[in-house]
Amino acid sequence: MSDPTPLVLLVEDEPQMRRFLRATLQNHGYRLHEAVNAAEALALANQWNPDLVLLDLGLPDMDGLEVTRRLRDWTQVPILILSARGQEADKVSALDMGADDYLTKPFGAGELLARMRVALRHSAKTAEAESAFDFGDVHIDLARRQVLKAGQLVHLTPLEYKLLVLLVKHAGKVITHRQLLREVWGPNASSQTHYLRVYMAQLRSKLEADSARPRFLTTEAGVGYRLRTEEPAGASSESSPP
Amino acid sequence: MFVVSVVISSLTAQVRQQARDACQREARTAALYALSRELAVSRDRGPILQAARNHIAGLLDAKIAFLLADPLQSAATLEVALTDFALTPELTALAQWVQIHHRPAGLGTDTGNQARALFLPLHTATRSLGVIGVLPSDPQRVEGLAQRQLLETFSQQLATSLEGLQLVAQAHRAQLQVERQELRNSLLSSVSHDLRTPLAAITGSATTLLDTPAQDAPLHKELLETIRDEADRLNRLVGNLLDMTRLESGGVEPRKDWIPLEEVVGSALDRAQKLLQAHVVEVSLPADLPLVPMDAVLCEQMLLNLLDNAAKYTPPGTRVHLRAWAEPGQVVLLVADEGPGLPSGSEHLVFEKFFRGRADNTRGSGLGLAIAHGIVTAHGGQLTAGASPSGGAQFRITLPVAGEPPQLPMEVNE
Repeated sequence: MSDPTPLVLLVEDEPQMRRFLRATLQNHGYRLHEAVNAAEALALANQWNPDLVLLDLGLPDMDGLEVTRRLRDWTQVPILILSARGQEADKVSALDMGADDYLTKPFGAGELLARMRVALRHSAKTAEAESAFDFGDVHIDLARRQVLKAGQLVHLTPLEYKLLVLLVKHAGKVITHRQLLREVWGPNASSQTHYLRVYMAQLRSKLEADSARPRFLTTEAGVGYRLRTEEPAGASSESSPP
Repeated sequence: MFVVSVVISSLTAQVRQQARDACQREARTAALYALSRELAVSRDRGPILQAARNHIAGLLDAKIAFLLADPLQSAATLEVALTDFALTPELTALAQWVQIHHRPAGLGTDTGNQARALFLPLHTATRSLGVIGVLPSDPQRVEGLAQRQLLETFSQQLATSLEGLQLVAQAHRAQLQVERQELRNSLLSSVSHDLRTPLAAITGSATTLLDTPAQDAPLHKELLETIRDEADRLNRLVGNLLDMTRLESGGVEPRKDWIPLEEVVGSALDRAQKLLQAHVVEVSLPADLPLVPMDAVLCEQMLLNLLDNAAKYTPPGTRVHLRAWAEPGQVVLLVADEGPGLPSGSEHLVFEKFFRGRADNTRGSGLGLAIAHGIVTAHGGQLTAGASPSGGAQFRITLPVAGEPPQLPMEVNE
């Protein structure tokens, strides 16, 4: 991102959704190109090389999943999926295909901007490795491979630690079950979701104040997990610029 | 003398013939009576056809076939309902001809009389119900006029019974349709009211906003919050309607994984945060609860609906309890509140669509608990409502746990 104001490619066929998104994004200082179908989206992506793509899954001319696949052939631009509730399987496919995150319609401006910030942040710092990460009263020292909770050393098993580091690496973004299983347990375990669920439960009981009501290690039912870095948007109005 | 003897012998023959005829008539009448009695008590097609087959086969020493028209299809399409002999393509074609022309064909008739079997139409004044095929062991058994008459009477009797069956089925379908229509109407009026109320609030707030000077910040905020909240409500209602529709059309097949109950409770509580911000939620889940085969998305929705129900029907500041334990073969989860409890006698009704606990509370769509019930049922479990020890409402969910998940690979945990 050399340009200080990120360029967003909005791919959405519903005019009223474009109207809302255009107003919101321009009001928050984003530059914007709009595509109303997949063909236009692919052409515009090629021409403008955007910093972020907002992609509606239900396009008239091509499946949003296919658009994701074609974009991923040549670019690592962050892709945020806009989808309806009940499309869990499609969301998961898009994420496994390389999309970065998703928003379920209807969503508020705060939620949208928060997701966009996370996605842009990740694409900006892919190269630089962080040495530490904090959430709540938990401090993760990545260099020393140590985890502290309220200043106390917490013992994690090697797999628990591996899982936690993966969540930290994608902090703020959703990661699918398949992605986590493949990274932590290897390619043969990608359908054994209960391994993952049991380890997530262990992580929660060690790091969350109340494991039945996690504030950070959150579940996206049917999709995967998200290490939440901001308080859920919507309750307070988000207005910070990108 | 010769004349006299001829006359006498002819008279004797006549008398004998008459006596034989009378005998036959009586046998026929008895057979017909027996058949109609059997037909009258049968309410299904199968027994009716069986009875008719047995009577006719016994009387004529013949093999029988019934080819019937499907009342919901074109009358020209025949299906074999029962047959004692092989229906060759030629015989089937003959039966088809009978169905179309409403006239007997085959053995002993003007049409296709080289065939080994006789086919007669089964028809009443208004309907062509099908065709009966008769393959006698001795062709002469069906060639006589009396036998033909008897067969035709039997056919009519059978046709009338079959028609009666069709009429009953038709009446039943019509009634179902009426009931379905009535349900749809009450559903529509309830839904359209629920959809219009938030829409009215949104439209009203937005138009007021457009007319209000921008400097009236408090009013702006209030109107905007109304729009947001009502849109949320609308979204939940539409979601409920979609869930209900999917559950009712049988299109919901739970995708079960072995899941810690805590995870589903956690994600449901996360989504219910805003709804329950005025309540205190107390969760107590034992650490050694087994994994439960659940569809994460559906079960999260089920819990969310129960929590939403508790939030709606209990005063702010009261507590909502979530407790679970394992029993042999199942896990039990209780969602209990400290509100006024369910109206007595409504423990079953609360799971009915569009049932609302209290007339003065119309904030709910009356769908949430019905959906929760549908989801638990789809998992092979049970959801029941009752009173909690503290007097509030209590919902008890059981989810079956059969077998065990694949063992986790051992990890050295020093």
